[in-house]
Amino acid sequence: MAYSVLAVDDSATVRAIIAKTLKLSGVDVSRFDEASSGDEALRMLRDGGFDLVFCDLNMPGMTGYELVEALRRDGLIDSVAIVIVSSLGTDADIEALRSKGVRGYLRKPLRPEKLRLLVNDVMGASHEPRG
Amino acid sequence: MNPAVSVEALRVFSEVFADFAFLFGDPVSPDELPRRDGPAWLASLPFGGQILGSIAIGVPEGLAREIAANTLGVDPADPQVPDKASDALMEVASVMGGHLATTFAGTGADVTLSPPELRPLDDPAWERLRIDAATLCFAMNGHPVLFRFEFNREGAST
Repeated sequence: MAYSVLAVDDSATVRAIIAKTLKLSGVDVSRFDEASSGDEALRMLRDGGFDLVFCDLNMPGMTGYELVEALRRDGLIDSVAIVIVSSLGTDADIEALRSKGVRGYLRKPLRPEKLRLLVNDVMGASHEPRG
Repeated sequence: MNPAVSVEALRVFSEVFADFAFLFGDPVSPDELPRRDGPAWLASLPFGGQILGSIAIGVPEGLAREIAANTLGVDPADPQVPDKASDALMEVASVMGGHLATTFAGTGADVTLSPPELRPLDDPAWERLRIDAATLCFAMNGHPVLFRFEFNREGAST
C-alpha cells in the first residue's frame, strides 16, 4: 500500500526531515511532493492526487490553520488525510483542528515509529492509497 | 532567571537538542564558553496567548552546520549542509519555543508561536549577549551556545 504524500512547511530542512522519517518508518510512499507555503499547498491539493498531507502550523503567509479552513470551504478536507506536524501541541490546538477535519497530530521532533503508528491510525483500512 | 525556571529551561533545551539534532550541551559559565570561530547567528521567536515570552539561541555558523547535518542525517561535508544551516537553526528554535511554551503554560493553555527569525550576531552583539545575566551558556561539541528564555505568566488572556 503506497501513499501519495505532500509535505507542507516553510522550512526546507523540515520537509527533508519528513521525507527521511517517512523512509525510516517503512511507510510505503509512491509519490512525495513538497510545498513551502500554505498557498502553494492549497493549489496542489485543489489539483488532487494526494492521500496524506503533513502540514506545519506556523508558516509565513497562509498558516496551517488557514490552510485547513480553506480546504474545509472547498469541501476537500475529507478527500485527503491531514496530519499536523508542529512543536506546539496544546490540547486546545489539537481539539480545534480535529473538529475541523484534521486526522492526526505529530509533535516535533519526528520519530519514525510514532509516524508509522500515526499513518496506520489515520489512513486505516478504509482509505485506499492511490499508488 | 528564576532558579526553578532555569532548571526546567535547561532540561527542555537539552532534550530538544538531543532529540532533534543528536547534540548534547553542557552548561558552563560565560567565562568557560568555548572560543567562537567564524560568524554567528541568532535565531529567535516570540510566543503569545496565555503566556508571553520569547526565546533566542545564538550559535556559531559551524555549529549550525552540524545541526543541519545531524537533522538531515548526512555527512557535515555534504554539499546541501551550508544551505540548510540557517534553516535548521531556526527549526531548532521553533521546536524549542513550542516545548518551552507548553512546559510553562501547560498543554491545556492557549499558546501561539510566531515563525522564527534569524539575524547575524556581530562580535559586540555576541559579547553583550554572552555577559547578560539572563543568558544561559553551553558548550556543545566544542562550540559555544548562548540561550535566552523569557516569559511572563501574566501574559495576554486571549
